[in-house]
Amino acid sequence: MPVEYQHADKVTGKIVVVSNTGPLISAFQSGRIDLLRRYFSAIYIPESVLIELQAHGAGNFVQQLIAEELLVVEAIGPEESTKVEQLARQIAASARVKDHAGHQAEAEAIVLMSRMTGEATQLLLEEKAARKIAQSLQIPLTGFVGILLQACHDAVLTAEEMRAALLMCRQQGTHYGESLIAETFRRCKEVRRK
Amino acid sequence: MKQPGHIAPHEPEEELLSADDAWQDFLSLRQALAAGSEALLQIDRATQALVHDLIVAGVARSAEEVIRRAVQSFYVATYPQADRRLPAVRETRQD
Repeated sequence: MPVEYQHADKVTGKIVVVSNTGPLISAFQSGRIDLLRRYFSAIYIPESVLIELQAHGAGNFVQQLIAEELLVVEAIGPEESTKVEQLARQIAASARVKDHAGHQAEAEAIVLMSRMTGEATQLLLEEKAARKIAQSLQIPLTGFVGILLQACHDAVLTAEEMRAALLMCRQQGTHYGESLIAETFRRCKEVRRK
Repeated sequence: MKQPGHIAPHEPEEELLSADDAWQDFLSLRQALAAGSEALLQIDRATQALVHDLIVAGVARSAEEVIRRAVQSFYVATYPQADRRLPAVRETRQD
């Protein structure tokens, strides 16, 4: 029997990613760490992200994921510190928080992603100012909402479950806007139909 | 699924992504996952559909798990036959 490779539907495998703090916080807030396990074989984070996760009260989740070897903490080398500071200043220039020290974690995540090119294929990052800088460096981006849409596409989540996850994040202070939630709800239904 | 405790928001004063950004994120992630799977599964369409169904049904969490468990099952199922042949194969390799 001839084997068909062309136009074959792809089966969802797992990929290696680097993450900033925000998308992981959203996964923890909504109780959807199952989606991290589903799509990623390893999530690399720099030390600044680890410190932020612990400061946000996510220490238990972090320890659990490190024990599972899903979350991996990577040190930023002294030779990379200049680049980190430069990126943090660039992010601060277009962010609402103008102190570059407040953007250390995003900058470290971008530097780590640049170092891991070839192994990590996506950077999880949802803050606009940092995303602009990452995009200028041709870094492929996704985020927690993108993960939710993928789960909708794979029929892992219903549109209602997707919306509930975003609302749980918002109830805990994460700023997912009304229009983002409404539009993503509509698109979740759309991708599930395909 | 583990229920979340209270986790403080991350930089709530910063602007997060728009709906269009989120859609682009989905497309980007989907492409990366597909590329990963393409390398993993150079198999025919019908078998890919079976793997996909097993994942969607929750029997396995990933294509890697389907393959791992399928190979283990196949090994057990064919063990008597393989067991008879393996000594001869090993002898040939030593020669």
